[in-house]
Amino acid sequence: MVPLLGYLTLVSTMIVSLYVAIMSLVGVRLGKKSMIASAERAAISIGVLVIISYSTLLYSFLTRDFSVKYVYEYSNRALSTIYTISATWAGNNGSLLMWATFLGIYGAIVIIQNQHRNRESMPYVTTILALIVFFFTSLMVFISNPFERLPIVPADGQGLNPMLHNPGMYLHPPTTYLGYVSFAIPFAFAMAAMISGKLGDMWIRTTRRWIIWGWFWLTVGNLVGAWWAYYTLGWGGYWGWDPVENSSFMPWLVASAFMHSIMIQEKKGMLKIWNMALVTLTFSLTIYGTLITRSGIVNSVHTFSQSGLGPYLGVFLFITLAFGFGMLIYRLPLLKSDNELDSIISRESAFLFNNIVLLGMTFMVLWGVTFPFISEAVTGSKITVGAPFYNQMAVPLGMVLLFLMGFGPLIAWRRATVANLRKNFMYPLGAAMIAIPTIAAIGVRNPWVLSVLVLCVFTLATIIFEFYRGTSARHRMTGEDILTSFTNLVWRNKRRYGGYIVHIGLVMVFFAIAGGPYKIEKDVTMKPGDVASIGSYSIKYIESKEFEDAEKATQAAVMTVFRGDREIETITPRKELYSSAQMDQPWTRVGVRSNLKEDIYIIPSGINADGTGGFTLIINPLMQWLWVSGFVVFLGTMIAYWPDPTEKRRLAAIYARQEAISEE
Amino acid sequence: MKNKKSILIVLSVMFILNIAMTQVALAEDSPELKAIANDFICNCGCNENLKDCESETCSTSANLKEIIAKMIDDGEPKAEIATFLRTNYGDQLLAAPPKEGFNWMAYATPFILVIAGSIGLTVVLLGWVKRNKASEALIEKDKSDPKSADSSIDDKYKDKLKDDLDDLEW
Repeated sequence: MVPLLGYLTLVSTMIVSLYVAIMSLVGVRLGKKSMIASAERAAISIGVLVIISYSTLLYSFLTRDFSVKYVYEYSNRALSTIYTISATWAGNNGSLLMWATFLGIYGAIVIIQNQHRNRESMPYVTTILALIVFFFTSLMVFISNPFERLPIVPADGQGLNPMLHNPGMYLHPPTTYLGYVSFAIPFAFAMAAMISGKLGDMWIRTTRRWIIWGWFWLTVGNLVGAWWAYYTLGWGGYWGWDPVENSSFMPWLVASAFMHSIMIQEKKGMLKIWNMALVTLTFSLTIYGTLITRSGIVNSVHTFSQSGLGPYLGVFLFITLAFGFGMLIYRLPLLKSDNELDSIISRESAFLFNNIVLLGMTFMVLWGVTFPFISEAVTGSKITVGAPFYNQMAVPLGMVLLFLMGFGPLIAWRRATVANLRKNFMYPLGAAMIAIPTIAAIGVRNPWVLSVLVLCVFTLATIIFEFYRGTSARHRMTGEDILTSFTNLVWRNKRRYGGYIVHIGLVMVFFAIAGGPYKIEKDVTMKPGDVASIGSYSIKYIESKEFEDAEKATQAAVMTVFRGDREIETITPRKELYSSAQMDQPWTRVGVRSNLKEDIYIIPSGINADGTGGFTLIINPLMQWLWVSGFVVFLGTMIAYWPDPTEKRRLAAIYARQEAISEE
Repeated sequence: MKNKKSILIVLSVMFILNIAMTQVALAEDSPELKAIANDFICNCGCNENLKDCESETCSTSANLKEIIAKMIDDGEPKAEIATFLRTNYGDQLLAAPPKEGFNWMAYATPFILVIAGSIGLTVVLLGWVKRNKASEALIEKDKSDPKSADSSIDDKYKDKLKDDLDDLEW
């Protein structure tokens, strides 16, 4: 009964979304406000329908309704409640439903937010969002039905892939999809602006917060994905340039470029064409990411199912690109703005060069994905483009990006004078100069690592300098104490200083990456009582233990980590054998001991009955900075995202002016 | 419940038997082997780096590592081992395109595009600066015209206003 309700809700969502798209479009063309209002009410109901649909799927999982094929394939009776919830998005069908659910909810929010504003473009926005919902619900209704029933109800399910038994899996798919789906909103507004011919910057001002929201979740999605890979895949790394990782990294890169270039359009009215292209590209890349992850067309440690979705998602991707760029070409004469720049040495230029590098990195990733096909076509021999290629390419480009991240904030908008440059660069450059011998003195000799660390210092110094300059100016002007000046400075300029805090988080990412070349790795065979040493640590293998719980049988190696004579921590790398039919091999769980300096990471390659075990001991320097960076990015984004009364007033005034003009 | 318990007992016995009977080969990959394996991928289709592919669950990587280990033991230099693997398994086994012939395109193209993009952007930006200067000159000319109504506005304050507007946080 409940799965049937879920399926019927899904079918209703598909029909209602088609109704919304048609009514909204016909309404605006015929000038029938009642049709538009009906479409908008129906669009809000889509938000409710998708929630019901997802809830029924969740209910089927929680009640172990194995008559539902998807529930049977991704859970079993032994699965804990917490992982049963995450099993709802473990496969293609549930993931698509999650996509549609987020989009349905986002769409409803957008319509409620814009009931009294953007009235000329809203019908088109509604149409575009409804068509996207229609596409995804059609996929589920006709191809990938999450509520498909089995003719005979099995006693138990196949269980969840052990790789997904990790907190990272709780966050990785939903966060990535929260980000992916968010970019449907700016895309819809951009397309609506082009269709309606209202090509000012209102679509940017209206969707600015959605862009930040989407970018933030894409960042979190990528970081959590890396965290999951580090703790679950057990190979000692966190980013392998796998096709699925690449496909979620590319929209992040383009979205980062987009976030910077919209600032120029807001301030200067420039780059209208560029921003339209970037928003189309960002949204298309989110579809590409879904295609790569959910079609099973590539082999990846991140794909857990094969499907026939590839051609449909491919066609949808093609339509998105063709429509976006087709509209762009059609509106080119109207989008051409009289771009003027006071000086090439200005923040505007720095942002644009940052765009070039970010797009260059995106191209590099895409190039890596496509080059094997090109090479085979030209030379006839097959080649592989794997992690060593990407690492070689990404390091120099990343360094340029890191430099620009420090350089940009130091340059004034419009025009930087020599005095301005001298004043702003003096301290950060000084800090970088001091950093060179200091970092070299602590033993860093690798020129790439040294350069990245010096650039980290430079960029961090520019940000600290910006905070210092703003705080002291405010302190002088208002007489407030330093702490109040600092707080008010940030709070009254949330977007700017929130952005700087996000940059600090990104500096931490580079800092963590810089530790990579100093990784130490060693394979050892040990029996209980043996001691192995790595770096400045000794690791004593205490004993081998066997135990079991409802889902699995485990064999663990209890190991104590010492530094000198001091015992630091006991960790238990282990092998697990799940009752799940999806994994008949013992599964590896790494043992990790972390601090800000380094991680001790132990991979058990095998443990024999007598307790003798093969272990890979690894020291991963600076790893924790990568995870900490996520919290810093979160803090910065929240500050930038926090509602600002001044901004609200300004926007309200702009909306009022816009309405007055359209009424005239 | 009883059913669940029996499944677990069977599972545990199987696990222990599995461990006891198979006697997992506890291969210690030497640093030399790791260094060589790092340049290749496992050709079982997993796309993983050969060094990181778990030999325990992948017989392909175990075989490849065995070949490399044997060649290291035989005193073959790294370059010889790499050549042997390329000859016998094809360039596809390499984790990155070899830096030769057409494959240089893989490495050069992104940088060429970034450099070309930067040069192109510089040219465009210089054009915008030039256009701005031309319109400023026009305004200057206009201001010098005694008929111009705006000529009394102090440039200093006008610039200040523009700067402040530019710095406004939206």
